[in-house]
Amino acid sequence: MFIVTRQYSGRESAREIAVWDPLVRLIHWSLALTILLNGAFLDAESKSHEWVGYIALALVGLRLVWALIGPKHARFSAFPPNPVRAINHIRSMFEGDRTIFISHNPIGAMMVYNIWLSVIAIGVTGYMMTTISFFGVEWVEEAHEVIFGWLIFSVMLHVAGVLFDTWRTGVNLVRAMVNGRKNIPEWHDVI
Amino acid sequence: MRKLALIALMAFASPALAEDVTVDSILGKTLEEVQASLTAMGYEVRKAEMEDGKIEVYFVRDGEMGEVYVNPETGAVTKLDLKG
Repeated sequence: MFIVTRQYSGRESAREIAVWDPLVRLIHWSLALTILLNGAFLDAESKSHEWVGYIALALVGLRLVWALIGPKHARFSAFPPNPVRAINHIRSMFEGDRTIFISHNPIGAMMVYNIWLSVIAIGVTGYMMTTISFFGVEWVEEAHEVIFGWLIFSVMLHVAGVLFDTWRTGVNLVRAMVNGRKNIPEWHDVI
Repeated sequence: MRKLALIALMAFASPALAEDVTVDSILGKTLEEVQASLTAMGYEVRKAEMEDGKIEVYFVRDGEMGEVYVNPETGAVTKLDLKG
């Protein structure tokens, strides 16, 4: 009974924390759009496919710069690429730890880097196909396609992870990427 | 042998060695023939494959790249895409 009461009061006094600045959000949804456009709508042989690909590369490039000079939660230091942290996070999650990470949680962070690296690799192989040295060279084309498949798989995992973590912690992560704010239920510890 | 004959024929029919591939070119009805024709024209063939029932070949020459589609029934070019 006590716990239930506490949960109710927690819900009512949930804190809102501004996490994602406008540029982070703009880059996130723009990158999602470029992946959707190039994967599902544009002819792979077309000029527009090339341009959308370069825009995707530029978005990731801009995000990397922002991770150096941007606000606290957008920085590399807020979500270091650390597989050990990710594994520890999975373990403590199963042990019932409901600590909330203000920026990306450690598994989310690994996914972020995976997606950025994949986009870069797709962009670079895509550019290579337009150069005289690699035009029509089979392995470049295959790498471009295989990594794109990996990216789509990663995006699906990313969406699944977002939904799972929203269910697990009560923090609506989709909303946070839209309006920038995380609603933190009071019973959580925050890192 | 057939390849040689074809090359000889190409050379005979077109005295200019560096003939360009155009939408009017007749390149051949098999992957091998199309590759041989393009090679005879001085192109480096990068990739040749069947794509939607057409012969598709990627080639480069003198800093120029292109893709050509050939109808295997007529041996004629159906689409030519030249890039910078």
